[in-house]
Amino acid sequence: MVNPNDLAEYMVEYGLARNFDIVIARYQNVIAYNISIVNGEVASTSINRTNGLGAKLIYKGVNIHTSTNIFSFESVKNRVEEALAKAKAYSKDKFRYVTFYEVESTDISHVVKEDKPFIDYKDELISDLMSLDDEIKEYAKIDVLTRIFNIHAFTEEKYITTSEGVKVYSKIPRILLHYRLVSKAGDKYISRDGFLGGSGGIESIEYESLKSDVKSILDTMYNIAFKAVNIEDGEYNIVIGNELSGLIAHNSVGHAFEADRVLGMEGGQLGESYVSKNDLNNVIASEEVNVYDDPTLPSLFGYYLYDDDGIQTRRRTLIKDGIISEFLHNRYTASIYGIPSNGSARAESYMDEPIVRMGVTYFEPGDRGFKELIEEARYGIYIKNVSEWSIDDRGVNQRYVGFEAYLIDGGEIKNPLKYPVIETTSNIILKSVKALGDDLRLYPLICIKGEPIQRIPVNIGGPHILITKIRVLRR
Amino acid sequence: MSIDLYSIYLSDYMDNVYKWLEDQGIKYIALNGYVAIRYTIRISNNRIDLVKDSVDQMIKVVLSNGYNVMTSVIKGLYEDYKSVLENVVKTVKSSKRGIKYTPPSNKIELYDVYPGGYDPSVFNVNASIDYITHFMDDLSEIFERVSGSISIKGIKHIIKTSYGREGEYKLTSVLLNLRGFKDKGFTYTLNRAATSLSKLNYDSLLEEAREYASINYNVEHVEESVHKVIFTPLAFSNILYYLGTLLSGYSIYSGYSPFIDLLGEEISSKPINIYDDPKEEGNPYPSLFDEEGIERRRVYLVKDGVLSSYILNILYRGVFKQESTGHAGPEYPYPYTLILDGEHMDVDDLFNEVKEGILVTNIWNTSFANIREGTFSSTQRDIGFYIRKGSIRGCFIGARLNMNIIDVFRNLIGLAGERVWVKPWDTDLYTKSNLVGVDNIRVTTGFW
Repeated sequence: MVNPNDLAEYMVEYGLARNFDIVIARYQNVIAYNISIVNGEVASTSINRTNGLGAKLIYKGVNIHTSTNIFSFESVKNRVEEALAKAKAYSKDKFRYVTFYEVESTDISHVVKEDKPFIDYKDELISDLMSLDDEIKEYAKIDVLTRIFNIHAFTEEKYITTSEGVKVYSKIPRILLHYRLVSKAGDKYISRDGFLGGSGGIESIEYESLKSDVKSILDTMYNIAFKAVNIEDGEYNIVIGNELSGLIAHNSVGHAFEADRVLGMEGGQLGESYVSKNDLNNVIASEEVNVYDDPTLPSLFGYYLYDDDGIQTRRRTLIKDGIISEFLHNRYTASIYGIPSNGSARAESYMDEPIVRMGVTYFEPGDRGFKELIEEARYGIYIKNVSEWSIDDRGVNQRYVGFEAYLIDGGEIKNPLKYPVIETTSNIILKSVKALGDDLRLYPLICIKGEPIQRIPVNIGGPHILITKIRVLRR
Repeated sequence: MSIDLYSIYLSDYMDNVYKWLEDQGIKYIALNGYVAIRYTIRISNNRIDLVKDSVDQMIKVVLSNGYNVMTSVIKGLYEDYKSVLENVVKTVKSSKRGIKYTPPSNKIELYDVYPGGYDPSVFNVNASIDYITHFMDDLSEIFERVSGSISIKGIKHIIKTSYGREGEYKLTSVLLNLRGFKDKGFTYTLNRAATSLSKLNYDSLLEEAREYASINYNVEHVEESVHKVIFTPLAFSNILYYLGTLLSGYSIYSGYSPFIDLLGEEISSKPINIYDDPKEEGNPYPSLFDEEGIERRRVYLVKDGVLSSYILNILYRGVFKQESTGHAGPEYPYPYTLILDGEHMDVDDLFNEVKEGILVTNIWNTSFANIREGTFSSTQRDIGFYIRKGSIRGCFIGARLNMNIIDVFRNLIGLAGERVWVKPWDTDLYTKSNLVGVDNIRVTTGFW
């Protein structure tokens, strides 16, 4: 059996022998377990392995990505030869000339340990979810017709080797739990999805946290069915919860600060950005706002230490005191800016080219307690979490439909509200931030981008935040 | 590149895996083998950024011992397949309750090649480069800049089952997705799918781009109101995708689809048909059988406006007491391709019928506020146009369409114009439709 790491090395060696300027080869092996529990029964199980070799090859400025999962030296040689033939044929004016900022050689191995490995403890997790299913039926004050728990546990093993002497081995196990609840009250239905997860073993799914979230959803469903009232359309001060502040960090800042979007390179896919190349150091938010992307935070779903260009990542300061501080880069976009990459290149599988992606994007917490934020809002709305969200493809025009939401009156939380809708723009929302809470919660998310679409694990989050004078509609 | 050359090793590999699975005492085995050659040419701002290609082999097994089903995909024919499949087999053997799994017992061999569904000329990457380069040049006369991609696939699918289904077929598929940018936020996406470059119909696409780009009004933020809306085929594809997934037997069985209990009910205000037919000539993603060896065929989900079938695989045929519709998908029954047709009018007649409304050319980021009730919104992606007195007058950006998937079909005004195959960037379903008019859609915006 051929060692796939040796094949990756051969890809670099053979690529250099064939006069490629830069070769970044990657062996990527993902083993994924999917288990779906529907209404207390295991409805489906699957185990999938995606396993192969990919390489980015630059020949006189022409950028080729090739991949194969046929594990032989012959196959690797064929891929390199075909890449060379293409690169030679296409070195003409319709191609964008690609240069890479130089990097130093490194040799590192990085493995995330599982306290409770999924493969050994999956029955425990399934048993917990079955118990939770029973608890839901006992706890809920309304009829919960649908209870779905989807477990997606996957371990990503990578070996990256480059023509500049970078060698990085990593192995990161991750778990994502998606759940969906549908309840019925009279002839009305209410539904809500939630996510929980991280990197590591099944300890990433904190059962007590899950139980608390689920009970909160059930209470909210009851409130929406029997107690919640509509809000009048108008401008309100709003205290947003951790999940919603995370979505804003992800949508209005993270995606908009991806340098390939800023440069228009995703124009036909995820879209461009409302931020332009020369906006660095410009004011974009109120001065209370600091936003970071930090994939190095351990145990999180979006955690990684080295990106798929073989670059060590770090905390990226996207907004500092309301000013644009830094964009997210891979080696390609960084070279356009004439700076070193900040380690944002990620690829879903060996078949995909590493593109600019987020890791863990969040608003930095402030100093206010939750009560203080509510008091400061005086009259307005508290939106703890949302049931629907969307944003346009420049990261501007966005919408969030509140799920658990309350009226704030006299600086106190009052009656529940039914689906208040925030529909506004990034410019307005970022500049309307008046105060940030001292809490921080991060949520896992699967983020999409690229062509064909690449799905990668990230985290979003933030503290409770007070935003003022935001238009709210009823749904 | 030859897809058949790469499949030689796959056949041997499949024989070994199949024998090993038989030796484990698995009752029902469907073993799928795939060879895929893919390449994508990505462009942005009138330049090619990247050419990427891949040659891949994979197997997918669908296993059951009589209750429920277990699937496994192995991409990369590494010799240690047993390390993955041992866990699969263990789970299958321990599954002693759940939904009954009963494959059909009649033997069928499926080896027909879909006429025109496989055109190896697509593997000439130079031809695709020339094609997209030529397209960029022509579009640069219409738009300030162009971004997007052309994606080519060639796939060979082989199946062997323990219940007498065997077969293989090959397909090729080409997807063009080019987005033109003019000033002040005017963008338009040309999107078309076919089985070869020549079938994309270059001249017709260029004409379409010229037609839309030549509409010259100031771009404004949309006015919030309740509108009659005409969707282009690309814009309506997003809605058909969600319709398809919500008609999956899994979403019905699990209890979250708004189409529960609507089988046999009239769900459309017009006598439309919505069907899947992977063997229909021109289908850009043809197929002969699904991953359980069930024949792909024309399956009506909606017939003359009545909901006539859910999307089923072998497992869910037992639940719904129907035959499998040939939609064994990744893990659940899944729509393969969808076609909307029905009595259609002239384009001018549809515009006159709408009289006052909007034309939406592309939507995305569809998000459900309440999936069981079917309420969702979609965000405008490319330019939209105001319709005044039955004609286009003005254009806008920034719309969000507030919809309900049941109401969309209950409020159909009509279908008009040529039906074309498309696939939006953010869905994975090829659909075919023409212009679709829908009444009573609330439009809101964050620009106020």
